[in-house]
Amino acid sequence: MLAAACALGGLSWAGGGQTPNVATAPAETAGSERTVNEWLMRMHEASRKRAYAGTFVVSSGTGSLSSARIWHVCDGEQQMERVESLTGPPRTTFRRNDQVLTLLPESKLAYAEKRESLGLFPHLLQTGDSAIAEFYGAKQDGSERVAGFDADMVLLSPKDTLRYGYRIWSEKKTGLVVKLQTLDADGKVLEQAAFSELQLDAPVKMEKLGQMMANTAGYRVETSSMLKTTALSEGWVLKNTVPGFKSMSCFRRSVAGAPASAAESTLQWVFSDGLASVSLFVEPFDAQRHVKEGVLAMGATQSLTRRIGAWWLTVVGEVPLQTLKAFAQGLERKK
Amino acid sequence: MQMGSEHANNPQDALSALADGQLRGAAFAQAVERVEQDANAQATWHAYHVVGDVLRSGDLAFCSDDQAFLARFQSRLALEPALTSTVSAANLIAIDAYKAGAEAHLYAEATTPKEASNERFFGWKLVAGLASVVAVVAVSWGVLSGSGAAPAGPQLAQADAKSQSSTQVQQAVTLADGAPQVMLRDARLDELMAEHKQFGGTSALQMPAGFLRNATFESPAR
Repeated sequence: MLAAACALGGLSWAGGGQTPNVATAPAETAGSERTVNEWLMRMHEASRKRAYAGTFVVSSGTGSLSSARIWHVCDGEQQMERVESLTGPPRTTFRRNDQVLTLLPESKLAYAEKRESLGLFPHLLQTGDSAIAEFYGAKQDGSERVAGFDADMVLLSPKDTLRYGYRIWSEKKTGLVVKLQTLDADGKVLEQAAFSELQLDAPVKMEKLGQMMANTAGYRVETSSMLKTTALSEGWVLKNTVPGFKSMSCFRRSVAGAPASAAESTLQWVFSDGLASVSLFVEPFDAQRHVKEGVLAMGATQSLTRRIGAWWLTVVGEVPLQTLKAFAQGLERKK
Repeated sequence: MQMGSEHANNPQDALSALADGQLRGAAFAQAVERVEQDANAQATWHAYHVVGDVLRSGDLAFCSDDQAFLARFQSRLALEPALTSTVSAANLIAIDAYKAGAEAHLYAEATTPKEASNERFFGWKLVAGLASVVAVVAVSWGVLSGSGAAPAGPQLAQADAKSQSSTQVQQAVTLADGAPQVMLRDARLDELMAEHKQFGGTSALQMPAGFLRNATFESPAR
C-alpha cells in the first residue's frame, strides 16, 4: 500500500494536506496520463480552493429528481457551504468544515452533527491506505460541456464486480466535479448528480454564511450523539473481508438525550474502498418490527436486511447486491 | 389487487385508468358513465382521491393497521402469477427513488418510464436497472378504505425514497434478480439509509458531489 502511494508520482503533503504539490497534475498534460489518484486529488482540491454557487440536481435511473441551490466558499482554512432544497419539504443544510447543521423550517427542528467522514480523503492518500488505484482504473473519455463549462469526462472503471463504476465530468480549468454518474456493470446509469447551472468564483461571503448558520432562532436544535467504538469491542468481526473495503469507523448511535445502551441503540460499522462505502447496521432482533428479510435498490444505493441469530442486520451501500451479500455473510458474532 | 392486466378488460382497472387520466374516447365515456351509475364505483373513486390527498399531505395519514394489511397483501401477492414480461412491470410500477420528503403519490405514472427532456440515458426502460420491480402499495390506502377486503384497483404508489416517520408509508417491492424477495421499505430503513449517507460517506468523491448529493435528498426525519 505504502509503495503504491509513493509511486503516485510525488503527491507531497504539508501539515494537514493544505498544499499538495499541484505540479503533479498540470493542466496542460493530456488527461489520459493522469492516474486515478491524480484525477481524484485534482477534483478534491478544486472544491477547496474556490467559491461557487449553482443549482445541483440529483436524479436516479428511474426518473426521480431532487434539486438544491448551493453556495460554497473557502478561505484556505475554513470551508462553508449552504444547501437549500428545491424539491420536497423545505430544508436548509449548512456546513462548516465537518460541522453540519440541518434546518427544517416546517417542523422548526434543527440537527447539528459532526461528520468525521468529510475531509478524510486527503488522509486516505497520505497514509497510503487508499486502495483506489488497485481497484479502479481511470481513463479520460473525451470532453463535454456541462452547465456552461467545458469538462473532461473521466471514466473510473472498477476492476472487479464488487463495485460500481463512475463517470465524472471534471471542469477543464479547475478540476471541479460538475457532473457525476454512478454506473452498474453494464454501464447503465444508476444515478446522476450534476450542476444544472454553475457560477465559478461567485461572490459568496463567508461571514454571511456564518451568520446564517448561527441563526437558529425559533428552532429546537438536537445534537445526535454518536459514540465512537470499535466493532471488536462490540463483539463483531468480519471473518471474510470483502476485497478493497477497509473498516473506517464504528459508531453506536443514541437518541438525543438518552444514553446509548446496547439494548436500544444501533451499531453502525462503516467500510469504504475509497469511492464507495458500505454501512452495516446491527440492532437487537425484535420480532414485531423486523418482519421480512429482503433487498431494496434505490438509485445507486442498495440495501439488504437479514436476521443473524438474536440480531437484525441491515447492510446499505452504493455497491452491487453481491457485495452487500458478501458483507452479510462475512459478519460474525464473536464469543 | 390485479397485477399486469390490461386496462379495459376489467372495470376496476378502467376506473383506476380513468383516475390516472389514461382513458380516451369511448373508453373514457364508458368509465365516466359507470361512475355515475354505480355506487360502488363512486365509492372507489372517492377513496382514490382521499388517499391521494392523504399521501400528498403527509400529516393526514395515520396508519394503525399495517401488520394486518401486510398479511392480507402478502397472501394476495402469493396468488398472483409471476411476472416475466418487463412491459407489464413497467405498467404497474415506478419507484421514485429519491423524492425528498414524504410525497408518496398514489397514482403512478406507470405506463411508461419518464423520459427526461435532454438526457438520453433516461430513456431506458424500468427493466434495465430494476429488472422486475413488481408492486408498490401504500398502506394508508388500506386503512382508509375501511373494509377488510383488499381493494381492487389503484395502481401503484410512486414511492419515495424517504418518508417521514410520522407517515409510516409501507411499500412492498419485489426485485427479481434470481430469487424474488419482498422487501419492506419503511421509515426505519429510510432512516438507516440516511444515516449511511451521513456517516458512511468516506469517499474521494465527497467534495463537492458526494456531500451535495446526500444533502440534496437527505431524509429530514430521524
